[in-house]
Amino acid sequence: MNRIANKLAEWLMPVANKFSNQRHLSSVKEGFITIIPLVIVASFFILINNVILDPEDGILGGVVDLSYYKEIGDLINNGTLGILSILIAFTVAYKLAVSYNEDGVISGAMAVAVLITMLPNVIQITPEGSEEAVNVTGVFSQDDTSATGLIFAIIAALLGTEVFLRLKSKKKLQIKMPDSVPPAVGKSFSALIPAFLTLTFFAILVFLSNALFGFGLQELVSKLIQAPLDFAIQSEIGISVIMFVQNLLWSLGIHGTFVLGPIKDPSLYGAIQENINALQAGADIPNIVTKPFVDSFAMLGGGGFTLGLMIAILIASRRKDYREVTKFAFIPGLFNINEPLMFGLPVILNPILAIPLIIVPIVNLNIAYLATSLGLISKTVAFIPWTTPPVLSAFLSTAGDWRAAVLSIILIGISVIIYLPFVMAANKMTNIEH
Amino acid sequence: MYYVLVACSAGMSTSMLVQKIENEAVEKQIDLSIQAVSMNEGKTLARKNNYDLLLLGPQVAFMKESMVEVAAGRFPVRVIKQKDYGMMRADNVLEDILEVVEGNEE
Repeated sequence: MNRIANKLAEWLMPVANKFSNQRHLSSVKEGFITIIPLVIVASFFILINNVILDPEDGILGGVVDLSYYKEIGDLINNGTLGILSILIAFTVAYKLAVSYNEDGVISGAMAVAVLITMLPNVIQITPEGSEEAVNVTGVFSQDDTSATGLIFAIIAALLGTEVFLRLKSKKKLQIKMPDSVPPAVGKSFSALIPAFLTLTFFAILVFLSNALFGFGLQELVSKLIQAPLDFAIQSEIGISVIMFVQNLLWSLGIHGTFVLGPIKDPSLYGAIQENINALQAGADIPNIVTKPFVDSFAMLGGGGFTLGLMIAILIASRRKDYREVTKFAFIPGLFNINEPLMFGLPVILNPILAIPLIIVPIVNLNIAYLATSLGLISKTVAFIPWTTPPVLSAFLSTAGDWRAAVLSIILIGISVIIYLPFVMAANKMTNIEH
Repeated sequence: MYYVLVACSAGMSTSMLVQKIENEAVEKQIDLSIQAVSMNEGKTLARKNNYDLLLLGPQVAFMKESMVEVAAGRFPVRVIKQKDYGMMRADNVLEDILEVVEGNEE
């Protein structure tokens, strides 16, 4: 059994390496990580607006009408989530350019220009009290610039940067300035022709798409790419498969969350931001599976739901080494950091503990999914950092739904029950590691 | 002064270990500058700066090869032993660090 696990690890190591090093995937991941602080700030204000200040549902709603002050949060939302796609276009292009050892700032600015070039320049608006829609130019719709436009923004940033950098590397396309011109000025001129060609290229592309199909590239992308991708990752089966692979990797000593991040995170971040936007707009919350949903219900204590493992050990393990490691790993575990436990016990390459490590998160994820779809708990509507302690994370991410907190306590109980027999089996193992 | 960079996925668990190593080094009066970073940050830093050693958490051991490429022979890259990492045995890790940076590695 151990030999099989070792062989599997040996085979998966280079695959994981290739994957984590893939330039575009990493830029997307890093681009998202860069703006997480902004998203959390926005989330915080949306919580305040809806949980405290809202005249109907707010805690203070029945006492005093504070809805006047909601404007503060609304303004912040405009500046962060309202332009999320534009921010992402910049950060992703920046990270991609830096990975090529190129100037990130000009590439980021180019990507934003490319993205806006490809957005519709005429927007239909139905004015209040009117039946007919009117065409408005010179405005951007938050439908295009907020979370809903994420995938398109990422594609625009990656393509735009690739085209721009390719052209920029061509010596023939660089305007040579005489030596008397300061280098900084010369540098910006060297980007002139590539910038001209890049923007013209994308503008003509959109022009052709409009002329041929009657709609822009954006609609094409959202129909052909975003919808199927979101469906695959945000469905119950899709996310279960991802959790399976993630924890299988963990059981082999490979940081599964880190490796799979670039595939699942854009879609899961997009999902929570759509929920946040919907809450803000007072509309129905669309998505069950989001980043905070997975963090709050399937990864308590860290990957593999190891909070349950630690409690099971404290209850039933007769092994001194297990108890020692657990005492030591408990505090970081409360912040969902579980490397000490993973490598200390160790959980990794441990054929007995690998089984619950893979099963528990999938079971709990599906229970939480069911509970949410039955309306027993609220959907997640706030972005919380993954280091938020268990139970509190469920409470906060659902905008203060105590039932979600209770559910996460139940899930911890279930995880303990599943882990227990395996911990008892480990009691019987001779201590081979020492 | 020895300069050591330690990288894991987010720099979280590594920072716990690094803090312990720092204390250990002060106690033993070893001149050591050690820093915990995320893998991505580690890559950028390792490209720009020179270190005496780059250490990786065992959970990102699969990225050793690409980090060796980044180091390009300027400094060694090692993976922290699983057991030492899990138990946060700073004394053992410090010993291993010294073995490498002082060139006594077997």
